[in-house]
Amino acid sequence: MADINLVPEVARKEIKKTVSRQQTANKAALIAILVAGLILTAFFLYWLFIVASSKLVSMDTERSEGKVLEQSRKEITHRALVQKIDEASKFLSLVKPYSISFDELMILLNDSKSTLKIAEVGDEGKFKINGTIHNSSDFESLVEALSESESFSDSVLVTLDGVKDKPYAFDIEMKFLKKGLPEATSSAN
Amino acid sequence: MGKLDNFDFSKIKAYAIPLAIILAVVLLVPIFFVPQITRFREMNLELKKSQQRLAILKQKIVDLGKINENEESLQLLEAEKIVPSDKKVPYLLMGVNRIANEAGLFVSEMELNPGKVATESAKAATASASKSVTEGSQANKLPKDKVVFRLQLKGDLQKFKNFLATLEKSKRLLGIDSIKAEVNGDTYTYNLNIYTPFKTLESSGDIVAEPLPVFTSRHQSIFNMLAGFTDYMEEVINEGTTGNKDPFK
Repeated sequence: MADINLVPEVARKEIKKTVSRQQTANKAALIAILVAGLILTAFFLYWLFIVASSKLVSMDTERSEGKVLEQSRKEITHRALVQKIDEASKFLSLVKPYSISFDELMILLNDSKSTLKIAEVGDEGKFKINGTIHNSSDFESLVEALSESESFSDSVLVTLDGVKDKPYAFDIEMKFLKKGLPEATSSAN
Repeated sequence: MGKLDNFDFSKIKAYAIPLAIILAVVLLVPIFFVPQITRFREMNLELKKSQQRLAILKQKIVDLGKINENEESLQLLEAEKIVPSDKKVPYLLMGVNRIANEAGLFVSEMELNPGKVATESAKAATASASKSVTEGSQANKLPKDKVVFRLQLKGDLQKFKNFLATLEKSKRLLGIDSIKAEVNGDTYTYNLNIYTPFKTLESSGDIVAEPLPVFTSRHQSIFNMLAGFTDYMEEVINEGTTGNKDPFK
């Protein structure tokens, strides 16, 4: 018996098209499920990896902490030593070597034959001297020596009083520049 | 209405399940995946921090192994004389007195924790401000890491210069805040504000995993230099006579 096609050609095409669309939709849904599944599996594996790593690290950390704590006396000694030397270093870099300033000042005053009455040293090496000097040429040599000095700067003559047959009285303000002990700066280099 | 009656619902039925699945997957992204990514990022960051801490701890174990404990203990004993852990005021005063005596100066006054030796302008300024300053706030201004004291000395300028030079070579670090030298007849009177630092061991935060500070060659050279200075604050213990049969005689 010969095959008889009872469905018309147009209807067959329509059915085929519909079936194909449904298949594509099903495939897309299946792919979406697969992708979601893959991502979920990846997430789970990554979570597993992080949890395992964290556990390993925390175990290792605990062991290492124990070893560090066993040597805590050694650590305290070391820290205390370094902190004390750091403190000393800070001090040495800031301290003003006033012995140098007075040494130089005494030489300057002796050379100019002047007498020191009052010397005041204040914040940041601010120096104020008050003294007497016999004549103007000696005073000139004192001023010259002060201006050439490497230790003092910004010298300002505040007052200069002269009374007949009496020595001149002067007030000078200046700045002592040096900082740090010479031994400390050389050892640091 | 006639159109709705003729509508083929079987078509929608056929697409409903795949569409619902795709929609569910699409909705999974903001509802589940994105928060998980944020959570994982946090977990990862935490893990990295823990790993860094572990690396520091391991390095610290290596560093601690390199330290010669006996040598550092001896150095610390010496450093304690340079920058003590507490004020040690009696030794300090005794030491400064010794320095002054060695220089040939006479100590006429000593006062602990004074204010600065005020200049005339400073006196005027503080006089106007003093009304508003309470005692409590003055106490707060006292330095916490150094001892400050005022010293009055008498003697000639050369001796004073020697005193300053000796002070600078003292093993216990002594610095000068201010000096006022005034001539009275033949002798000078010196008013000095002296300070000396002290240091207690400081530690804060995660002490166990804090890296060890490095004792550099600079530290060593500063230590060597200061160890060579003279210790004027050392305790002088008078030795009693020995060989007595009766200790009460």
